[in-house]
Amino acid sequence: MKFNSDEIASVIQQEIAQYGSQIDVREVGRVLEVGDGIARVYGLSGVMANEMVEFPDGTIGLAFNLEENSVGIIILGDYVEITEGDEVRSTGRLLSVPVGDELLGRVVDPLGNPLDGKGPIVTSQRRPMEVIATGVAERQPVCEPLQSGIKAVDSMTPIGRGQRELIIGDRKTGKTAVAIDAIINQRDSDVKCFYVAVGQKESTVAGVVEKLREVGAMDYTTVIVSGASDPAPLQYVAAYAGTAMAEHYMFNSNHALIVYDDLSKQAVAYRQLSLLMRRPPGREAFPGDVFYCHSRLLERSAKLSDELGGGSLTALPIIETLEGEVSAYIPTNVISITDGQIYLQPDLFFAGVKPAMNAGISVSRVGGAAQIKAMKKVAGGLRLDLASFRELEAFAQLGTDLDAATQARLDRGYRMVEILKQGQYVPMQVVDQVLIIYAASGGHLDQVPIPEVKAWEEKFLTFMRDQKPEVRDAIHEKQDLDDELTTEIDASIAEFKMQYEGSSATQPVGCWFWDWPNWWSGG
Amino acid sequence: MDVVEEQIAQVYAQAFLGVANQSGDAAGLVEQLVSLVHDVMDRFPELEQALASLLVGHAEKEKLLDRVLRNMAAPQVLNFLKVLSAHGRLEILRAVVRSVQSQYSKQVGKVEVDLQTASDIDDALTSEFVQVLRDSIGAEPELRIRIDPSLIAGFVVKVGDTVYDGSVKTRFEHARKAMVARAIEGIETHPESFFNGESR
Repeated sequence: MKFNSDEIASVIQQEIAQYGSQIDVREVGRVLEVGDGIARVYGLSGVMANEMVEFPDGTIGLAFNLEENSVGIIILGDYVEITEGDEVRSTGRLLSVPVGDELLGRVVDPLGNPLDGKGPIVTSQRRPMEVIATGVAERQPVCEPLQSGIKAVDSMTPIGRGQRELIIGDRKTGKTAVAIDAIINQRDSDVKCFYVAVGQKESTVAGVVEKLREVGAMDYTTVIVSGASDPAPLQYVAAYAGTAMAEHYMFNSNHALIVYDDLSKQAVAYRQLSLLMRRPPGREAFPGDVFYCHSRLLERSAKLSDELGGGSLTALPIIETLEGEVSAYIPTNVISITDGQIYLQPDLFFAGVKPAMNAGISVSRVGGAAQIKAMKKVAGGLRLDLASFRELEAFAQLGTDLDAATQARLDRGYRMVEILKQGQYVPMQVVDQVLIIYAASGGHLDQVPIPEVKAWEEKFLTFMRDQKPEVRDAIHEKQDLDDELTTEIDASIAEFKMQYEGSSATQPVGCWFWDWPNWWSGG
Repeated sequence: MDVVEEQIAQVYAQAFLGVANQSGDAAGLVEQLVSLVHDVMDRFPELEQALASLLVGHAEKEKLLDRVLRNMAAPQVLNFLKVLSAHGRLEILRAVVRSVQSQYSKQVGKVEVDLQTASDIDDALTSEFVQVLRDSIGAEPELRIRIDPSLIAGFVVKVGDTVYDGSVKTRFEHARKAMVARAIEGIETHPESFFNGESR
């Protein structure tokens, strides 16, 4: 290490030269009590609500409660060093976080400090953490799709840029997996991604970061971590900090995607703060403004008008339910705030349907506007068909004799469910999705045994990629399916079926039962 | 400091000042009350304990106050203490007296000012401080001087919640932060110069 002594001398020289002129003026208060991430301070009579204050050791706090004789401060950092009688000074500023391209690929805490050991984040740009969301005049309706790369989502509950789509489900139903796949699928798009981990196990977050790095998604992703062991104030502000970082792109005519994983834990952190601050508890002991806490956060996701550059911020909040209880306080709140939800169900998950999306109650209120025309055409009735298939399936289990038409619908349904299954970390391009859903809904798979559907799909997509690139290019270009294109696709499918039947006939035993290891790994 | 206690003390202090102002000798009554705490209770902590104790009933406290203070204290002060006793608030007497003092200062246009210096200051300097403060805050400053050698040199003035810090200690702290910030900036902008220095 080499320090330039001249530089140090110049600092001291400056200090000496200006000695007489400078008097440090500050407004202060005194810590009365401290604990559990909050401090009660006497003094600070001129402090503003939500103003940043500073403790002697440099820790930052936020003025949370302004009372007649004291100020309640939430401490964003280590509160062990703060003791009674410490001087607290107001800064006259609101809390802000660093923003900019320097944050991409980094893992940071809610204040923007790096956690990944990759050196300091050098950026001069900052944005206030709490801002009021853009108003009506500054927005436009959602019109561009944000491809999640998941067949079930993109076909039945499409997400548009600027939309808020809730991912809701019990623990261990693949909520994070859906969000991570959506992030991975932004590889070839210009969408910057932000993953806000609130109250998660550090090991889980480390796993997610590792996976994102492995697939190359960290190049355009920032991970904001406030782990389970972090104080509640940090967990509470993490979501707002992440949003501020993401908004930077929205207001600069770019696109961003933010995942809040998860908002139930953020609400719990907020409840803890509010109870410690002696704000009155309401339903489930949450404070009265927990709805506002989430609504003002999610309202900041928007599609800006063309005059403002047309940037967008898409939000994928995650909510964990207990035993499928969507009518609990926080789930109902967030369902009513968002523009739709992806509902993941444990029994589907355990039946091997992954992603375990329940097509019946998953919706996207933006709907077709967030889909390319080709997808809209092939997947238009898919959601209702699948929901009615589920009903029919339940009825068929009673063992009654079925007529041929019902049996055919059931067969189609089984294959459709099979097609919508998808592995983790393998998001699919929208063209491939259109092709396979077209093939399945056109009945081209009705003769394929169910266990072989997966293999059929893979081979079909490889065939289209290798032998019919012109068809894929045409779909990609037109984003629509006209008569000419559908004829071409039909011809391609017919050609593929010939090849497929030829290749499967050469296999010694055509029964899936004898071939169970392959079937097992494929299913 | 108990915030709730302070709040209650303010109410009693306001009431006492009301009585004192009616009597026409507010300054004398306030002084008597302050002296009760400083000259009597500080010297006889047992008396304060007895008055604050919940084990001693109101009737006994009333008799005690009569016996001790009847000949010395003004009737308003004695009555005020009895009211406090009747309401079971004698334990916050010190907070009440503090509040009386600060409210009375405000009433007569005085402002309490904490002055910390590194070393003892003479009368001439003190009066100069008073003069400067009077001009800048527009009220009569009531100086409370404290000597704190850790300031090294200079002074710190606290008016209300605002601190005017002209101490060398704070200047050193600023200089230290500036040097650290500059070093960090140097490392961030030209990391290679540091690595090269190490390898040489």
